[in-house]
Amino acid sequence: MAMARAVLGLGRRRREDLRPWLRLIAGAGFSAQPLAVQDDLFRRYNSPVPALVDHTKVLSTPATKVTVLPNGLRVATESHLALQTASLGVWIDAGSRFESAATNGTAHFLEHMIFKGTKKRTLRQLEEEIENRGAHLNAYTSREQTTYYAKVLKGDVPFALDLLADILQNSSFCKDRIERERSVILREMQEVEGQVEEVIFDHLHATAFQHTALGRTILGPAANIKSITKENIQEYISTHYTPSRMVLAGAGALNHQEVVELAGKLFSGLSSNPTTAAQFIEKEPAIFTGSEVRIRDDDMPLVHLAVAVMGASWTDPDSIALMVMQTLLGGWNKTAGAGKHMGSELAQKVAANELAESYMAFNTNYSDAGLFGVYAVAKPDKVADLSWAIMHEVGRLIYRVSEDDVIRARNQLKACLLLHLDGTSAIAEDIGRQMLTYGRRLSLMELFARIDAVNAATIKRVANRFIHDKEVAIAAMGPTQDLPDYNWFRRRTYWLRY
Amino acid sequence: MRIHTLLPTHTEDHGVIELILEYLYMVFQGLVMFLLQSCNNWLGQLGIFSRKSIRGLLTRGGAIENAARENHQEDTISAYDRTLSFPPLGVPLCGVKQPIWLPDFIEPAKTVITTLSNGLRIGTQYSSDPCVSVGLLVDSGCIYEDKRRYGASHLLEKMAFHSTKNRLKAILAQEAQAAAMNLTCSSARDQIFYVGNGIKTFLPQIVEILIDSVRNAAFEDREVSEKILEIKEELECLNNNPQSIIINKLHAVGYIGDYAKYSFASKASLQRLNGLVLRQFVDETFSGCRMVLSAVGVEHSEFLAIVGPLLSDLPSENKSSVPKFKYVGGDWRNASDLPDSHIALAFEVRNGWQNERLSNHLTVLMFLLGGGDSFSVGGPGKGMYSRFYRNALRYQEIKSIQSFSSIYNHTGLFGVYFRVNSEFASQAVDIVCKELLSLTARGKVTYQELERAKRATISAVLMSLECKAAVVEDIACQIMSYGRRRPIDDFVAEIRRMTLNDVRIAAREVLSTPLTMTSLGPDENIPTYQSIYRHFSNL
Repeated sequence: MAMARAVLGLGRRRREDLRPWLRLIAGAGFSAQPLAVQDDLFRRYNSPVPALVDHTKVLSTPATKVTVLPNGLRVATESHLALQTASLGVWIDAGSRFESAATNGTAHFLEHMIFKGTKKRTLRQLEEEIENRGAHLNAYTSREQTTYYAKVLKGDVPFALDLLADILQNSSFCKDRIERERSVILREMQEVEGQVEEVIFDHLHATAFQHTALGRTILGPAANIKSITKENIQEYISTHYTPSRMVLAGAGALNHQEVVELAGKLFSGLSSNPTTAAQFIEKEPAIFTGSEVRIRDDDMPLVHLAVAVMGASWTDPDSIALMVMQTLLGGWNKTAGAGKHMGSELAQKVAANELAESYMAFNTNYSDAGLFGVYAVAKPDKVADLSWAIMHEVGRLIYRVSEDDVIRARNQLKACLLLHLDGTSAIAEDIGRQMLTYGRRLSLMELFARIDAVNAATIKRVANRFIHDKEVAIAAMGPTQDLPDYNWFRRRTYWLRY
Repeated sequence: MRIHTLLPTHTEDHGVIELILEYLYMVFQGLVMFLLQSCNNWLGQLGIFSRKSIRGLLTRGGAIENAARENHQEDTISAYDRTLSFPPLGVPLCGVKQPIWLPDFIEPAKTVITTLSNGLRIGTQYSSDPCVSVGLLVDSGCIYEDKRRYGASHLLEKMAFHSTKNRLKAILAQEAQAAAMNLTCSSARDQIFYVGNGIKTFLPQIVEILIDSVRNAAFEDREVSEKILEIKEELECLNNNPQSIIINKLHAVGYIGDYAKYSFASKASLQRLNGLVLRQFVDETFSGCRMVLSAVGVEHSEFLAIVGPLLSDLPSENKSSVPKFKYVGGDWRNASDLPDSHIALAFEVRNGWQNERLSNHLTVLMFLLGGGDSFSVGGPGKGMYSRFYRNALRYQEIKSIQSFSSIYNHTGLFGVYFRVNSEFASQAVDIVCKELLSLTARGKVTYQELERAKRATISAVLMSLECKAAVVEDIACQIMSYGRRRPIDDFVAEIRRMTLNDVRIAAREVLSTPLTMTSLGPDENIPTYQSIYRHFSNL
């Protein structure tokens, strides 16, 4: 080691002498002119080689306090009492995957109907009360999670709790409101169908998880939207909106004890169906099927393509390594700051050869499955080369990964996770999601320790587990005549020469 | 970097062997370089610097040495996979240090401001959050462009975080990724704002790159011409975006002088632009007293120690920093082939941010008028009881309507932008004028409406200040405009004090300035300028 450094030292000194010679050959591809006037003042801290840095000192946050109420409802909060605002919501272990084919779309329909008045508040009272307090109420439904959350000023926390409890337990679901809402949802469906990215991911789920509940869309087919009844909605609530499958999560200017006490009083009328989400999932597990769907439409200017392998479930210890792998593959679009100089080699290949308009790696987790892959948008004549680049880089994770690249990806992943936790809504969302999926809130320390434990050897092992000689699912839309066939993709999940 | 591990490491104190080794190493390195370079020549032309050895050699030797040392450490531990025995995420990982929990109440930190000898002002606010946000605001923008430099600000924004005198674009990009920082640049008519976000531990790295790229931009010809091409492509999109045209035209016809300038370059002006023009523009406007550096999440003294040496030698002279302009009002219409009529009506906000009371009150007026889309997403809380939402959007011919304000340091515009079925344009204009005028009349705005708008303003401001990006911008802009940062409680108290009388005064003050209107799309049903202006003439 000492010797190596001594040699390096000498080598370094000599390299200074070699500069003119080096510049001669180095000058061909890119200009070396700016380097001629280096100012050491501006070169003190940075290095292009990613370094291992210990972030322990800056990772302190207020603790997440968790209380389980007698009825099973979990209350989890992170208080920032100096703030002037708070976010507070109910995260529910329910979504479109818990529906049957005939009722597909109910969870989303319910999300719309829940803001339409309760036994205590008419629609107008509900809206006016929120507007008058400068609060915001919002909701979203995904395949496995449903969320209702409010953002309020300090002091309005009891109001927010009362409101959430009211809409979840006493919504009136007027028949004529249901009729009126159908057209709104059909209109929303049109909007979603206009967003090709959404459509591609729906197709990807539909093919990868065909004949299982995870393959259905969130909005449901138009026929269902036109036929869902008040009874469907009420049955969905009584089956799935049970206290043990709910987390009341909050962040900001709120007091844990106060929230627990109020929630104990307010959330007493929830359904008491004993079936857990895990039992539903066991009955109808997600089954990944290697398959593809391609929708050729030569009138579209660009090809949209998603390729995926079966990924990890939420709690799988390797899901962290998959997050690092997702960062390693990265993403790129024409406005990306680093342009051709992205750390990810896939981004370099795509940018330098103009293989795509944009691409991004994705890693989606569910209770018992996941999807890991790349989504890209490209000109039709580039699709073959792009497919090669994607499959080459995805496959390379099994065989050849450099430690520098892994360290860089880890740094980027950590920054991405931390920068995302900006503001009370993001923190409440993080608490709610983690409580539902992990059953606890991971401390940043543990999360970072798990990320830091991922090295090149981990990546190769995890890639071997999820990618090597595994089935793939493909969804493509547009002028797809140059898109290679399924077996071509399937063959590139392993290498015979490397 | 793997090359180094190929070297034998057992020899010690043997001068001759050392020399031979060194020689071998040099020959080896030279050969590798040559081979890599020859295959990199074509890659290089495509702009890739994919080979690490070349990356390394282009940087200081120190970085190489460090990297080698780290790689060596890594090699010893990366041979095996440490995560094999890890439990599922639901189970705590053994051996992780218990975090130090912070108390629930952390006294909010005050903003501390220091002025350097060259006039550059630095404002910081501490926070216990793991991330930092650093922003450099410069009083420079399209209003300071002279004839030869039209479009320079637009190009300057695009050229942010490219090659500097100290680092090539490739190196800068790699360094930024190594320290996982997030760099953005945005510009308005009278300012340009460079921001770096990242983990607190990487603060020095973020600051160094941020300041280096603002101060020492090299504006390499190749990069400049690449960006000019990019802007040309982008102009096609901008010219198809009705909103950006309408807003730009409002300025172009409403003002005479500096504020009338276009905020994006034109094809003609792009031909005059090059690296030299940008350099001159930067040298003229980027002086110490026209800059404010702000940061959230840093200790003031620590921050000063890092940034002081990087900024204290900036020149302080202050040329041409007061824009010359006059607001006159006017009308611009373009009967282009769009399905709907896009119309904007606007009035001047005299003295802009300098008139603090008026600009604060106008924020409340904006929430009072509100707006939205005929098909809008999101739950309650988006202004469903605002004037335009109730009184304009109930006509389904009005597709969207939004009150807006673009306020600058010396002036500003306040108005309404709406999209309407062209056959309904005349009625829509009347509805909008009626709503605007109702703000000036006694008894038209109810106490409840005002309270709701005040509450909405306060919560919108407080909720946005949860995010560091908003705080860092607020600190910089306030210091630039007022030389201090007003505590947020003052702002809240001022809004709370606002009365119905204040609404009338503010509305009168703005609506009595000359009207500026622009429209895009079918205009046969849009009333004449005179007939609209007449509504506001007896204010």
